Amino acid sequence: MSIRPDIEAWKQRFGVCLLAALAALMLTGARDITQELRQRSARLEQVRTQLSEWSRHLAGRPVPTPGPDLASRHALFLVRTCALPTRQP
Amino acid sequence: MRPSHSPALIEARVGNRLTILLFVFCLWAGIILLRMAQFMIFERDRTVEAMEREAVFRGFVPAARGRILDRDGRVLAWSERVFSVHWQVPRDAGQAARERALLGAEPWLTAGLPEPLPADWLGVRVLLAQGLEVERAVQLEPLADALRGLEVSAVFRRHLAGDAGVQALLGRVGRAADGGEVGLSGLEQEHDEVLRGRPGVFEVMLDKEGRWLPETWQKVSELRPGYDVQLPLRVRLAEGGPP
Repeated sequence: MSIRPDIEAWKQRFGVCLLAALAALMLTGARDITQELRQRSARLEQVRTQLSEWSRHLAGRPVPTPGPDLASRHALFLVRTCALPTRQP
Repeated sequence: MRPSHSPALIEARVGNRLTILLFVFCLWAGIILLRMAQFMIFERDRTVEAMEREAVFRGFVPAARGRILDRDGRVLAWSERVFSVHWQVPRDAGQAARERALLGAEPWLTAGLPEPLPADWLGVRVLLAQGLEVERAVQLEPLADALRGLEVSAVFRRHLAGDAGVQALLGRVGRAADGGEVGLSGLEQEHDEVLRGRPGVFEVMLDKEGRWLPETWQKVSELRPGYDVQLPLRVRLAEGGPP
């Protein structure tokens, strides 16, 4: 009885394991990216709405801005200028 | 004697090397797995906390104080946010001159600055403007993005209408620990619980230079302005009252 390793069989096993691991990693990554992309526009809209609510309160009155992009940037800027850091534990 | 390059010997050598390679790969995979387990399971809380401390800014926005109205709805006391602009002058004279040139995009900001900047101004935090209204402050958004040393900050200013007698009745406010305003005397103190709002808390992730990543901003708790208080009094106000 031979105790020599069957090189071809080991190669195949190793290759299958490697491919399986790579496929699992790629599938997991692809799923996360797809989910992120699907939710991105809804998430951005939510951030925009919340920031504009806060900025209306911070400004105390409507501040005229041409276009939603600029309004969004101004809203973020207002929140940033009025924000204070919470105390770290 | 068998030659050293006989097929059987070569096969055996390759087999041995392959086994060693496999062992090394297994060892490597085992070490990675253990390290991942260490970060993801055993030290997960500590690792996540350390990462969040560096990458997430948790802040709050003080709420505006409510107004005080008389029985006819005339506004007797109200708060307004006003903005100040500071410039952290770089220590390097060349950098300071370049930043000053950028600030020149808004000439009213640099109107009070001496030309050229004295050496003892380098590395100092300079007040460029204060008491700005919100419309003026938001104009500085592109400049504040471009200049890291430009700081725009907000404070509350409480306005009181009426004569000295009415103002004494209304009382005074001071700055609270949460950045808002707190009633110190008179009706401001008496109705403080109602007039004070609740600060809104938020979180945002930072990039490697400490700038906010807008799409990661999220509200943690609602920002609630203070409630208005209507008094059972009628007050006669002079012209030029509140908005």
